[in-house]
Amino acid sequence: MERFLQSVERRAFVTARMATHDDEEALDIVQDSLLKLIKKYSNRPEQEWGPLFNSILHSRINDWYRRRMVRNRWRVFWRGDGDDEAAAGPEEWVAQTLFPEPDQQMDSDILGERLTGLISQLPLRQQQALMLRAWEGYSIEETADIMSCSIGSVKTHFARAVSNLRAKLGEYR
Amino acid sequence: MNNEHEHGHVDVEQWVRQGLDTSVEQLEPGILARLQLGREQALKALPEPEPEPGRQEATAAAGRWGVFWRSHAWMRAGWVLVVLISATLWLDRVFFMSPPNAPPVSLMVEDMPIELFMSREGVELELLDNLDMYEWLAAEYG
Repeated sequence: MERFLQSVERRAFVTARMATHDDEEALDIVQDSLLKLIKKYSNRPEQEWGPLFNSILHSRINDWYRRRMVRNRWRVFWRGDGDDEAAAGPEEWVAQTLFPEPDQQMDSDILGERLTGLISQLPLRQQQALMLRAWEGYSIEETADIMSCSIGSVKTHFARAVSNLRAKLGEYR
Repeated sequence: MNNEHEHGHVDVEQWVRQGLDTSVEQLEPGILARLQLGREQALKALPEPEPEPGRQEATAAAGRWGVFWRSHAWMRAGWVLVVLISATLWLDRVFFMSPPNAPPVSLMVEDMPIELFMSREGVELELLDNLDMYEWLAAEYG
């Protein structure tokens, strides 16, 4: 189990950080996911741990988004300074203002930083579909299971993610 | 057109893989240390390994019996009473009572073949010599 956790924790952190844009929140999400996997599923066969862990991780990220959205709505209600971002659903909510401008990103020589910046700007579900399919290497069916959605939705999210990413890349080429 | 689309997917996927792998390799030491700490804490929650099935059943049965035993005071008293009565009967039989159905000594002697009777220790030959007289006395006055 320890070897498995060691092999997934860094990737999980990168995934959570891209979704939350916050190191502390990402660390909490990873820690919660590790704990839940250990407490509930450590007796399951080892080959199931990967998909189970990713299900937990993405479910935690979704929960975080929902909580954040509720907080934002209350803030809008009390202060009356709402904007379109707060009104949008979690899947479409993109905190672009938390990131450096694209030209600044392109100044960076580090591929990882540049890419994570671009992926972070994608809507959450597109991020998840892209990372599970392209990075974790899950099939469409497995990705649908992990994301708790239909195969058609995975295809749509993934295609849109790739298209958006290509567009962003095109802007900098 | 379709090929171009597929090609674009492959390009982006490769780029995503490379870029994200790089970002994993470049995580700050502080983050890595906290991830390790988090992992160690999570591993402490690892449940104890389950006992073997046979042992597990035995443990469960023992547990059920224990609960039953503790919750029935009348049963405990009954068991103690049964044990005491059994012990008393056994002691009485061993130490205070002669073995039941043991034949009287006289019958044994009369029924015994003469060779067997003679082979016993402590048989007085004088008694054997006067056996006829003793039989007559027994018939006359017995």
